[in-house]
Amino acid sequence: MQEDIEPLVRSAQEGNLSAFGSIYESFFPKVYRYVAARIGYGPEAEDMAQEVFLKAMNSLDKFQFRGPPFAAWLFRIAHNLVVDRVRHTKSTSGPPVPLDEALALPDSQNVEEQALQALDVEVLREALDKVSELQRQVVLLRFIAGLSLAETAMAMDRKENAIKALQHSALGALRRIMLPIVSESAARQQ
Amino acid sequence: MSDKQDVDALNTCLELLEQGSTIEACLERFPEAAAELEPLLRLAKQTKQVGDAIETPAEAQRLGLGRITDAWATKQAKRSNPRWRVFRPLAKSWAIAMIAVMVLAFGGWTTTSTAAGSVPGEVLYPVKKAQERFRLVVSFSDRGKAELHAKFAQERTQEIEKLASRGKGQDVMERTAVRMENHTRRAVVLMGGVLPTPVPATSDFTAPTTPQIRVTLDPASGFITITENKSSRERYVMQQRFLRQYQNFQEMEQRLSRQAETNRRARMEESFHRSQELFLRAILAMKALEEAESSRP
Repeated sequence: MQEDIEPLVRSAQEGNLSAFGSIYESFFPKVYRYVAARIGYGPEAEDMAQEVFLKAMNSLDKFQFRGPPFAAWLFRIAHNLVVDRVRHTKSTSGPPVPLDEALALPDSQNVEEQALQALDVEVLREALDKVSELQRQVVLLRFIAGLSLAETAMAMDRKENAIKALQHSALGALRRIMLPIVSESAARQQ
Repeated sequence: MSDKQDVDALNTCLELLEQGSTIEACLERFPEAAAELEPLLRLAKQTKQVGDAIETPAEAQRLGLGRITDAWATKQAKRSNPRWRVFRPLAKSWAIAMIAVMVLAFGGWTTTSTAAGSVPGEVLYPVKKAQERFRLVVSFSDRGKAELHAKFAQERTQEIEKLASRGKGQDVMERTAVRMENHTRRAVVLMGGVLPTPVPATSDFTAPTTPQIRVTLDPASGFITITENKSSRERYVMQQRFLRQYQNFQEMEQRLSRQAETNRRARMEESFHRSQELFLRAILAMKALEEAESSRP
C-alpha cells in the first residue's frame, strides 16, 4: 500500500491535484468508515471525512517519507478531529458512561452467537464508548479502517508489540461489554 | 499459554484471516488456546464485517472532491501571488525572471524570440518560462493574469505536441501536462469562477448541458462576479483562446488514443481530460455571460 501511494504523494507535493484526487478516492471510504463508526452516520460524519482530507492537503508539504507511512499520518489527522468532536460533545452532554469491567460473562453459547449476530454499527459504537481510548483506537484502525499492524502502530505512535497487546485486550473488553448490550436491546424489543 | 503467547497467537490468527484463512484453520494451529481465541476471532471478524458494510456516501465523496479542488486552487493562487513573491528575492523564478529582463534590456531580442519556440529540456526553455513569469508579474489585474494563464496552457499543449513528434520521453511530457493543467485551473479561478467539481476522466466525456462555473455580471444574483469592466472585444479574445485550446485538446485526444496504453499515458490523458473539462465549462460560462448581456434591456 505504502509503495503504491508514495508516487502519488510525491506528485501531489509537487502540485499535482490529480494525484491528490487519486489519494482521496483511494482513502475516502476507509476514513469515512473510521469516522462513521466513531460518531455515527450522517452529514456530520461526511463533513468530518472531507475535513480530514482538507487538513491533509494543507499539511501535505510537511509530510515526510522518513516518518510514519501516509496511511498512518492520515489517520492521525482523522483521530485528532474525531477526538476533538467527541470531547466537545461530551463536555455538553454530561459525563461518560464508565466501563464496567466486572460484568459477568454469560456462559451460554447461544447468547454469544446472538451478540455477534446483532453486532451493527450502533451496537459497536455503544460498546466502543465504554472501552479505553487506546482500545477504541486500535479497534477502529485495525478492524474498521483496515490498517495493518505496522500502520496502526505508527498511527498511534506505539510499538507493534504494544498494539498486539492492545488489540487482544480491546477484543476481550468489547466481548464483555457487548453481551449485556445485546441482551438489553433484545429485552427492550420484547 | 502465557499472556504473551495468547497475544501473539491472536495476532498471528488475525493476520492469517486477513490473508484469507478461516477461523477453524487458525484454531487448529493453536489448539491449547482455541477456547479463548475463538470468541475473540469471531468478534474481530464480525467487527470487520460491520466496518465493510458501512457504505461510502457517493454524493459526499463527490462533494468533498469539489471542496478539495476549490481549496487547492485557492492555495495555488496564493502561492503565485506577487505580493508574496516580493519576499522571496532569492527564489529561482525571480532570478530567472531578472535574467530575462536583462536579456531583453540589452538587446537579446533574438534570444527571446528563439526561446519562444523552445520546448522543455532545451537550453532556452528556462528563458521562455522566465518571460512567462515576468509577464504574469507585470500583469496586475486578475483578468490579465487569467488570459495569460489561458495562453500559457495553450503553449504547454503545443509543447507536448512538439515533444511527442520529436519522440521525447514520457516524463517530460507528463510534467508539461501537469503544468498545462495548473495554468488552466489558475485561469478559471482568476476569472472569478468557482472550479467545478471534477468528473472522473472517462473517454466518453460529454459536455455538461449547463455551465457549472458561476460567472455573471450581476452581483445581486449571488454568483461570483468578474469585477473588472471589460469590453466584448476582450471577452471575444479570451473565448477564442479557449476555443483554440479546446481544439488543441481534441487533436491531442485523438493523438493520445492512437498511442500504446501505459500508466503514464493514462495519467497524462487524465490531466488532459480534466483541463479539457475545465475549458469546456469556461467556454460555456463565457457563452452564458454573452447571452445574459445580450438579453439585458
